[in-house]
Amino acid sequence: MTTPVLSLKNAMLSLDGNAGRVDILHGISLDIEEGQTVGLVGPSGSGKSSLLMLMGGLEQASGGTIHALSQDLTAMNEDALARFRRDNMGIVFQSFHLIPTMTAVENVATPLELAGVKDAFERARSELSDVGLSHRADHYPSQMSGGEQQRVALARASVARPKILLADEPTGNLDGTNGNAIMDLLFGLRDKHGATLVLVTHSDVLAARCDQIIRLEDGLIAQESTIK
Amino acid sequence: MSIAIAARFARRELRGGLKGFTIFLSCLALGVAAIAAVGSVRTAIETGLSIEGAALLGGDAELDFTYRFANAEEKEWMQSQANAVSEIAEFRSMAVVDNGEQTERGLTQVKAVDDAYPLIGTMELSPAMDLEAALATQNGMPGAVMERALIDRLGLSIGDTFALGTQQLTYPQKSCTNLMEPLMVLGWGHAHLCERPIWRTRPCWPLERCSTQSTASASRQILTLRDLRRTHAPNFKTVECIGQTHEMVRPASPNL
Repeated sequence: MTTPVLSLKNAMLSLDGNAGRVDILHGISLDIEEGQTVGLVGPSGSGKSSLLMLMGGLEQASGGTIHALSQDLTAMNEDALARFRRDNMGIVFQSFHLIPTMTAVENVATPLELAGVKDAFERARSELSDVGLSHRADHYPSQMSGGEQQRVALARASVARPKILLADEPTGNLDGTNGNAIMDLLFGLRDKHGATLVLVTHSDVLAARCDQIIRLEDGLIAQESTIK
Repeated sequence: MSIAIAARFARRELRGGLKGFTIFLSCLALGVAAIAAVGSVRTAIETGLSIEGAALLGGDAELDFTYRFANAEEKEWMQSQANAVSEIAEFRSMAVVDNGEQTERGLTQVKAVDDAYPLIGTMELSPAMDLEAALATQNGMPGAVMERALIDRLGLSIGDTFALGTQQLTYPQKSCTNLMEPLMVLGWGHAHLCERPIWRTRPCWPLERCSTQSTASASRQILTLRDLRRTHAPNFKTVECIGQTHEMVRPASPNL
């Protein structure tokens, strides 16, 4: 039996706010194997994005354990988590989160520069070419459409060849045509580099492209199903 | 993160930030310009006061008493210090014009002056005539000079009458074109002039004015604020320059 790339044991998440403590995830346990594509689906507020944030170490679990590539994320401090993400994860957000003061190629090259890669810009241009944006390499995010920005974000997420790709509703801000193009690129990059992909989506059609679908309801796993 | 990478990222941020920085720089420039303009106006006012202070005040120095006139001892001291002394009473009142069908009222700052007024400069009236003639009693009623804005508001013409309290006055002058204390007019509203005896027994804000005729040919030493403070302090509770005290010495010029 192989070691899962992502393993959660009774992972819980509670957040304190002005209205009091809110329990978001009530104990999630799941294993995701290497190379799998997993779709997280469920109604709004069910905890899909929060679960993804726990997997990426962007939220601190209130209880339970989270292992990624056999390393316990709950035991890491912020610096260690940042380094782990830099070396092993690519994350795509619904709202792109590009750095507005950097061009497309600089945005894509940023994780490589931070990792000390010498040919960061050559690789960044190559990655931009893979998403069809070589002609927009020197444009700023404000000069690009939403679909183009998300393609830059995809290139940034995959340029360092991460073992884990996390995507939080990457087509949520795009129209149908651009959304489909982004999903094709996302799955294409995943197939090309063999990463494990966890995709949060509201769309059952998109989720159906994954190997496994996990349906969340009220902070708990309501259903797990394998497509392929 | 190495220093080189940090510097590179900082340069990129700065490069992008300069575009957005334009608004901040514009606001900064506007603010500096506004401060400079205010400073220039203040300097101009101070310079104007310094040069024209005596003319604006109508004397070289002013002693201000609240709700009373100077007593005999104080007047004697002023006479001993100054070449000339003028006495003014100022107070607020309501000018009333009753034309039978409608009554017009206007809040005004009344200035009662004596024969020595003004000690420095001249009072220019429209139509041109002496202040003494303008204020002279006609048909049993004292005269008055009024600022044009109040004239227009009350609808007065030369020879009309108006009332201040129970006192009826004639209005022989169309306007006063050179008010002696424009600063007071600015601060307190319209200015009237009337002969002091009318108001002498009323509660008011009297002003005693000293003039040393500040010229090189003046036989008497020029009165300075320092002199006033030194010699006047024993006679009064407080002696301040443009202060909020009830009794103060007000110099015509900041340099005095």
